[in-house]
Amino acid sequence: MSPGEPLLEVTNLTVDSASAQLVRGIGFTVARGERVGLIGESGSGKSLTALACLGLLDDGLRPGGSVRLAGVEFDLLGASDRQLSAIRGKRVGMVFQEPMTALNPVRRVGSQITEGIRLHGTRPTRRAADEAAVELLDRLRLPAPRQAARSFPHQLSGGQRQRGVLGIALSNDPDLLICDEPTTALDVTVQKEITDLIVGDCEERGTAVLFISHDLALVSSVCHRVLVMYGGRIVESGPADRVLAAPKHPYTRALLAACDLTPGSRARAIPGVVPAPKDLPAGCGFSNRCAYADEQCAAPPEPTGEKPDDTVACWHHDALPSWPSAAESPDRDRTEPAHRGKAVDSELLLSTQGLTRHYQGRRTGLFGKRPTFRALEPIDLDLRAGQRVGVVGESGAGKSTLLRLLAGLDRPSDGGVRYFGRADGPSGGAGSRLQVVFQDPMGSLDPRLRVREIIAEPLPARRSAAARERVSELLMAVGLPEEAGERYPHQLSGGQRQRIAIARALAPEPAVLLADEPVSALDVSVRAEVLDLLRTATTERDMALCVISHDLGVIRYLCDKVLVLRDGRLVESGTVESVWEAPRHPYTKQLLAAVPRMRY
Amino acid sequence: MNHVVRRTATLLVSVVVASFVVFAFLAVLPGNAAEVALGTNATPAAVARLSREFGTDRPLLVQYADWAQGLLHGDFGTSYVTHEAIGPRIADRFAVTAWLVAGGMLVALLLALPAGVLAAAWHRTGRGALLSGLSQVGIAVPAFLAGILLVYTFAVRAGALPAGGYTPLTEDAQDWARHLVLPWVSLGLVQGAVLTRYVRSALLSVQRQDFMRTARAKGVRRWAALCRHGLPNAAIPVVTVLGLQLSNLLVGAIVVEHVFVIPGLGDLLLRGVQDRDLLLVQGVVVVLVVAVLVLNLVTDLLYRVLDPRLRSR
Repeated sequence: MSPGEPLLEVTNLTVDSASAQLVRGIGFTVARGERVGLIGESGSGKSLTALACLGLLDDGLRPGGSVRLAGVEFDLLGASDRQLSAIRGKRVGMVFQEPMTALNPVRRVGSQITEGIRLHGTRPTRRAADEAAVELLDRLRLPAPRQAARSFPHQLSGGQRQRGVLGIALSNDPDLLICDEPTTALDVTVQKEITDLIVGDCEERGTAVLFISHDLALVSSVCHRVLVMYGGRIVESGPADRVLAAPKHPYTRALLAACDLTPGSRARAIPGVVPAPKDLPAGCGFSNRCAYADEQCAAPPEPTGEKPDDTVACWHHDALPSWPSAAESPDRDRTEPAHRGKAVDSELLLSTQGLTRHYQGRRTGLFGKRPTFRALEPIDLDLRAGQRVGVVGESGAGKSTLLRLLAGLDRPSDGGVRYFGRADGPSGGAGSRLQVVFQDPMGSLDPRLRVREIIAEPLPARRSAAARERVSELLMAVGLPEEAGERYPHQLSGGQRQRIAIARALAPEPAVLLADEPVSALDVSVRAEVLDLLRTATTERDMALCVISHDLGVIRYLCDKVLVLRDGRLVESGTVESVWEAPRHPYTKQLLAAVPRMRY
Repeated sequence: MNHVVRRTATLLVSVVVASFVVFAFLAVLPGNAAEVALGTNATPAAVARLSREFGTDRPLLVQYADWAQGLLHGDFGTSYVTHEAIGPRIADRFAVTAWLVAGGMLVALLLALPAGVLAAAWHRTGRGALLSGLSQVGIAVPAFLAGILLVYTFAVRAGALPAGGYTPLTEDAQDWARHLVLPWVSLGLVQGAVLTRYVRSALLSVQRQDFMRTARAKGVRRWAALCRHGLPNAAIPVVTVLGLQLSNLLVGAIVVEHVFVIPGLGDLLLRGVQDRDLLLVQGVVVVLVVAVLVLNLVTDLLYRVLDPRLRSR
């Protein structure tokens, strides 16, 4: 079999739920040894596509169409569980998004790998299977593989667990590896290690990869070819360099523009939100958000192109201006004039002196000393009016600890925070001058309150006419229609909910806004919008902002100053420009190098 | 290990506290043992003499210490009413109730495990709904009603099994089993119905977890994944319920003993209450309390066997 021969052939694949069609007739092929990226935002149907290929859809979802795998005489769709089980894990391996939950918590990692080996009988004995599992973990560069094989999942870190999951997927040398957002939940440096590992190992063994991700830069560094999905259809496909450097479909172009967080410019969010599947417009699914849409778009466009693997599904793709057009690229003229640097001598709002947080661990023995966990080593930090400070670092670096201390939600074990020149904590009348936005916009809004009540909550007289007016004003400021105030949080999308959380935080006109990963739960197309909202609030009202993020691009885009934390210690701080251009600490260098960069 | 020691220490403290509470509660009830023994026409002098003889005229703490010390040696004292040693009577009866409860639980498990697995696997299908409905009905039926219906069907109409009574295991094993089948089933049916729902919902929530998909993606068949990966995880919440149910069963057995005329602890307890035999009641209640505490300890230790995440803590 020569490389380049089709390995996986998907034709007219559909996935239906009881109420809507979620995948709307897509077709693509993956050749032997080829790495294909499947790009899309949440709800685009990319994960369903992968699951449908292996017959792993939830009960209640019905697939249609055809999925053929080279060397298998039957169609994978409609095959029996017995037939599919012989293929899953043997010919096709799969890696999922959440390494923390993808492994069975009550079984040892090694036994979870050998289970797959024994099941398909690729090793003669139990001992040989055990050996193979350890060798595999070693190949996946897990330190102390023998010990790791004997560990339970909770004893390993996220990166180590994901290597375990990868071990399960690769244990029988599959021809195809399907990765569904394999590194989204991991730190940047670990993300780089894992993607390098996937690319390296699959390159070496000629394994084809179907790589699902919302991260365009990451896909560009992994894949030969990409498929862009929107609303259950493939809107564009082609070689990665062509699609990402010269995108033809308005959605691909908008997505690329939304991802471009060039500092000093304004990223362009895609107008509107990703519609729920039952609300998708007939014809072209993107037409209700597309700047180029007209009446022709009411009919569904077929994927067209000179070659079958280089297509675009848009009626107007020939008529679009050349990429990057001025209207689609980041708006460089709309930067705020001379904002940066202004903050140096403005009012000092918040300052910490030797702020420290140590936790006492559990006693190890009956008479043993309690171990100390150093969540945050002494840190000095000033936050001035109009200043935007970003805190970056990987999980366990102490970012959230710092934010909780600043917000007065946790007590320091040493040192303290001075708020507005006083040391009496943020509650002593300063409560409304300091507000917090949390990461999860679903979990941080009371599900039983209407949006209007949520936003009015921090206001002094929250049932008054003045409060009503203020809420309407805030809704407008965060770009939501007035009637959104009458809804409940679950009736809104993730991006809308985060905007409500921000409106709620801005309601009492705080002097300081603290934000913990404000955009990490959001899709790319709404991320830019939320970032701009935060930025405008600081400029217009001279508010100080302290943002925590694991995403360095976000910090660079949003902040003037950056603090780099590692293992509870401040390793570097400085202006965003200086740190990005000339990082001094080796860890900062490592972090910056690990950020996936758009290749084309 | 550390944990086992800690938990056992807690258990011992609980036993002491519980025994004191039981003692104190019964001691403050009006009417002392001597008055009860001598009847309503007794002279105060006679009551005082008998009180001295029983030792019930001593301070409460001394009485408790005396009683508790006896308990440590397995001596439950001598009944004020029948003048028999209480310990051996409780021991005999406890064995009967223990068999009843253990068998009832076994029936419940044999019923609930397959029914729960099937109900989870057939989730959202007609068959699954039927099983869920049946278990709902089972929960609504009290054990004594189930017992009476079973007696009517199998003993009165079919005449296949005895309607009541008891033969010790040591005398005739077959007869022993024939007498216990109906009580076992009537206890097990109800508890099994409750347990079925817990097994089903635990499995359903496990089924939605990512590792189940990982298992299927490596080629494990649907049913095998449910049994090999689903059940061990679902077992953790189910064991919690099981522990609570065992305690319930111990108490619930009293009713079933009454329906089937089985000479168990419940029967003894009722007789003790009727005869105002305080010492006997105290003894039975303490045994029940200790049994429940021990069952809790076993449940707690079982968690750590089932869940490695608890072991490393």
